[in-house]
Parts: sequence; structure tokens; C-alpha cells
Amino acid sequence: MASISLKNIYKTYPGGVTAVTDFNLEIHDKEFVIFVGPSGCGKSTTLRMIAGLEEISSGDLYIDDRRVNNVEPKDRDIAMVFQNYALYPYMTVFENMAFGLRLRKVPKKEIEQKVTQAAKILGIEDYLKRKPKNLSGGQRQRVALGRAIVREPKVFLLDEPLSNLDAKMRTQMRTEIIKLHKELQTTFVYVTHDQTEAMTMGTRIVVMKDGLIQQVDTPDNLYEFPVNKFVAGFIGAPQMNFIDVILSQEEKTDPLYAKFGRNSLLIDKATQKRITYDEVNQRQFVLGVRAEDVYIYDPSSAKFKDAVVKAVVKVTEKLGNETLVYCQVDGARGDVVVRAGARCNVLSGDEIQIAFDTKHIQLFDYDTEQNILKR
Amino acid sequence: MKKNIKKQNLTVTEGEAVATDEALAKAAPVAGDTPAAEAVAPVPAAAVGGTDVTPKKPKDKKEGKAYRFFHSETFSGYLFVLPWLIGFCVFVAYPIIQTLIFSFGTVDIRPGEINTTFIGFENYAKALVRDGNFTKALGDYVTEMVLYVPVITVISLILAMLLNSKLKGTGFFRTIFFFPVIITSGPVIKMFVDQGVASFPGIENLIDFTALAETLPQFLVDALQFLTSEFIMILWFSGIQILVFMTGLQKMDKSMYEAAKIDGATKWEMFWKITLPALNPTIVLNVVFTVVMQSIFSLNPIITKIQTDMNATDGSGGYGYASAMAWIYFIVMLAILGLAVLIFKKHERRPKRI
Repeated sequence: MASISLKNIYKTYPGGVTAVTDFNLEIHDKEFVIFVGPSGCGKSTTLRMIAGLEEISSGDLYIDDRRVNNVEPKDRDIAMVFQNYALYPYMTVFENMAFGLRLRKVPKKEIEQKVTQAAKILGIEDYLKRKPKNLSGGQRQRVALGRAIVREPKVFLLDEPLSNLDAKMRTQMRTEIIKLHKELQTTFVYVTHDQTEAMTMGTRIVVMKDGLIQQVDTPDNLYEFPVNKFVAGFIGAPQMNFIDVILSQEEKTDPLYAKFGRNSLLIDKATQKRITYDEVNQRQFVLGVRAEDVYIYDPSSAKFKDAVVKAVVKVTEKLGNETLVYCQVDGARGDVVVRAGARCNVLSGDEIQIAFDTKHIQLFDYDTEQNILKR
Repeated sequence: MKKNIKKQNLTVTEGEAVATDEALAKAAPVAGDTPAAEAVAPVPAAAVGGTDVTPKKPKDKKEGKAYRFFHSETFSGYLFVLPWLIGFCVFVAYPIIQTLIFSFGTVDIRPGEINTTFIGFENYAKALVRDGNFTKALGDYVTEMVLYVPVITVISLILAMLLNSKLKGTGFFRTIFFFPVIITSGPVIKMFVDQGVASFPGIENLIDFTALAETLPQFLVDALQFLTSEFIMILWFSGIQILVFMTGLQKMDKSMYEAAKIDGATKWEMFWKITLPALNPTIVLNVVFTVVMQSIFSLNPIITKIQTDMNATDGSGGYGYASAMAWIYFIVMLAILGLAVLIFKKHERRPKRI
């Protein structure tokens, strides 16, 4: 029902602090776009600018081809859900949901019908007469969602709606919001600092840092082809392993090795072909590899035998379905995390061998931290 | 709600557990002294009693209860407030009861003795029926309250909202409005009032009250005249109320207003639908505070009258009569308070049981 387009949006506060810099984004109709990034990256500010709660310092904001920079929030045809629910404490659930409609002078019967319908979707029909303080966190957030739904807005804006809920409730509400998006067929813009939420919910994700867009992409692409070290580190849990390496080869077409400490990994041919730099020999780069692409070496299969290094196990984390093994590797500054199987039996202190699947690594420029591999 | 109850239960059981553990520890050495009772060591009452071989359970329980009380948090709590309680009983509760007794008699105070002759409701009858000065002062007091309290409450709310807004120099104005609270002490304020600080100089020239009286009903004009002449006094007494309202306003969730903004509410609607209901407890607090402060204000004419009559030597007054007047005054004040609370409490319905 609505597309949003942000063109060269800036937000500068009176003190001279710039919260958002040159934000350009086209949000298509019915999309579920997620703004994600660490706190203070400008994601909430951007959302609040779309909502009209924050003035746009410069740039243009269009909702359905209408420039709305100077349009009041109530006239933008949007609804917003806040982190702390922002329910009106002295009104019942019904009144909370009906408030916006009452102000718009919607006939009473229609209000009643809309509220009941929304309550049904969210499973809060039984609480309509209660006050917010008599509800649990999850129920409150449902009411807040209900308040947004009844207005039937063009755009839903959600500002960290699940952050105040406990882990179990969060997972449940996550699924419900996804379902809601499918049911309502409306544009959703969702802000979160939680990369899991971003990965599971969004059709497209906008990764931000220090007020700048880092990458806009689908969850899969963000995971497989992060444009820089920040995105690679931010998306995925446990965090991607980063190792400072020196690439070396005899001749330009010869096999390429990544060397660190006393270790040397043979870079997979396919990966080598994706390198965009002309000359990489003897230059320093950052090698990024996800925990699931590092294996405990199995000599019998000899898989990835050209990229095996010695490691000392520091800590193991049994998660039930998998085990995270934190290893110390010569030449690597931080721990190297290995995602091993559920029944992995290594203990801290063990000396093991780990193998890198160099087909699925990332290489970042040491200074600019940009990814030097093409897709 | 459920959570709270659970928590309470938990603390109670914890307390009990500690108490019984201690009881056992204490009982053990005693039991050791009397070898015969060793077998029933965990039952201290029987062990100490010695004579009764089959321990009686009720007695046992009773001792346990007393023991538990002296080792409970409640008891420690009482201990903590004990100094204040003693002070309250001696310096407040006792004099209050004494004045109640005084009010039903004539009091004759001589060195070393106080003689009270019981005369029933005579003092009350005198105050309410025969003493025109007292009933007039009381009437004035009630009118003043009815005018003062709403005006002070409304004005301090408006000022609090202005001072709470993001304007330049609010810090300066906050100080200005709170300043009188600091310097208001009996003699100082009396001097100020005597010098005419309480009223606008020349307000009579600005507003033509006689002309107003032709178009408006007399009581409205009177009220208006009263307010304009007492305006500074009202501001003077708003410092604390402003402060209380401001804390109330600052506690409000900002995103609630943002949600309302998106819902399409105007500032006016936000005030009536969100701010005011949320401030209701604060309003009650301020109304009660204002009534009490106005009632015990040192320049209050009733208090002056009661004091004068108390010390009258011509036999017209005395402690008995003054006490009766003080009690009537107190009851009227309570009635005003009760009324005020009733008016504002009606919104605060108890949440329906789930």
C-alpha cells in the first residue's frame, strides 16, 4: 500500500552532533525492512524521522510519492510501536486501541468492530477491559500492536518492540510479527539492535553504523557477502573470526597462501578468483571466517587438509545442539571459535588441529576494512 | 499483582525458617542440661518445663509465636520507629486528647494544678451559636479554602507545565517561584504582608470592579476581587505545589505523548486525556497539602482568634473554650480535606479483579 523513499536525509542536532548522514533508501510496498546496528548508530533517529517525531535537517522523505517532510505525524498515515509500549495507563486496553480512531471521529460501531477484530488477531480479546498495568509485557506489546493495527495505516514503524520482553516471549512475538506482516500486507519498518531479529524477520536489512548506511541487502546476502568488516562482525552469532594475515604467492596465477604466525592456509581457487585487487602478494589483509566454516580436523577424511593449523582449546560452550570451541591459534589476536557438533568431546587445554574451509572466507582490506572479494 | 503476593509469601517463609533454626539452636544447650529431656530436644517448651512429659502443643505454639515476633522484621521495624512514636505520644497524642477533655469543661490553671469542671457541650454551643466572631471567622475560612485551593492548584499546575517545558531560562524561573518557600517564616512574612507585599499595588485602578458588578453576579465579582488582591499571596504559596507537579510531570513517559501525537491528539487533548488522569494522585496530594498549609498558616485569623481567647483574662475564653474552637476548626478542616479527596478520588476506581 505504500512505498517510502528517503533521499539524502541528514539529521543534525542543535549541538552540532550529526546522528544520520546522507541516508538514501527506497522501501518498497509491502516490504519488511529492518534497520539494525549498535546503539547510537542513528537507526531509531531515522525511524523517528519517518514517523515525524524528529525533524529532518535536510533531505527529502516521500511516502507514496508525497513529500512529507513538513507533514504532521498524524497525517502521514503511519502507526508506530514503541519499545516501552507507550500505552496510556489510565485507559483500558479497549480505550487504548480505540483512542486514535475516536480522535478521528470514526463512528462508534466501526471502532468497536475494528478493535474486536484486531484483538482477535492478537489474541487479546479477554483483556479488553483491563488496564495496561494488569497485563504482562507480552500482552502489553500486543496491545501496542493492536493500537497500530486498528488504524489500518500505510506504514508500520516498530522501534525495538521486543527489547523489553524476556527471551522466550521475544521469540514468540517475533513469529507473531512475521505472521502479522503476512496477514496485513503492509510496509513494515522495524528497528532493532539484535541481529537475530534482523536476520529472521526482515525481507531486507539496513545495517547502520555511526549514522551511515553500511549495507542494504537480504539476510542471506548480508551473511554471505558482507561489504565490510563491520557488517561481517555484526551479523551472525558467534561473531565471525577475524585473523590478520599476509597473503603470499610465487607468481600471480600461483596458489595463494594466507600466512599468520607459523601458520599458512591455502586459499581456495574459487575464492582467489573473486579477489578484486590486482596485486595482493605480501600485503596484509584481514581474513574473516565464520565459526561453522572452521572444523576440528579429521585426519581420516583429510578434508581441508591444506588449511590446517594447531590450536589450544581455551573454553568449550555446550549449547545442546552444537558446541562452541574457543581456541588459541598462533598468530591470531583473538580466539578462533569453532562450531563443532553436539557430541564434540574436546576439553579446555587440549591441543587440537582445526581446518579452515577457505572457500567460505572473507578477505578485508587491512586499512579500509572493505571486502576485497566480489560476489 | 500475582508476582507481588508470591514474593511476600517467600519472605514470610524465609523469616520463619530462620526463626525456627535459631529456636532449635537456642533450645539445644538447655536440653543438654536436663538429660531426661534429651529425646525431645527439638521441642524447647517441653524441655524447659520438665514436669510435663507429654508436651502440650498449643502452649508450644504460643511460645513459638512470641519468639517469632521478637525476632521478626516487624519487631525491628517497630524498634526503629520507637523514638518517634514516644515523641508523638508525649508531644502530640497526649496534648490532643488533653484538648479534647478540656473542650468539654472550664479549665482553671493554677501553679501546680489544673482543674477541669465538666460542662458538657457548653463550649461548643457557645462557639457555634453565641460567638459571632468565631462563626464568621470559620465562614471566612471555608470561603477562603474554596477559593484558594482550586486556584493555587490550577495556577501551580500551569506554572509547573510552563517551567517543565524546554524553554530557555526555566532554571531561573524555577528558582524564583520556589524562593518564597525558603524565606517564608512567621515574622518575615508578617512584615511583608503588613507592608502590602501580598497584593498588587494599584490593582483597583486597573480593574473596575464596580463596573464589573453591573454585568456579573456579585459573588463572582467578590471572588475576582479577592483573587486579584491576594494574587501574590497565592503565588507565594505555590512553590511546593509547583515542585510536586513538576516531579509528577517529569515522571511521565515521553513516548506516550509521541504515541498520542501519531494517534492524532492535539496538545489540548493530550492534556485532558493523558496528563491530567496521570496527575490525579499528585493533584490529591497537592490539594491536601494546600488545605493543611493554609489551615496552619501563622497569620490565619481563626488561629489568631483561638490564641487570643485562650489567653483572655476577662472570663470570656480560657483553655476550655479555646480547645472547643480548635476542635471545631479541626473537624471543619477534615471535612474540607475529605471533600477534596472524594472529588478527585472518583477516577481512581479499584482495578477489577481478574
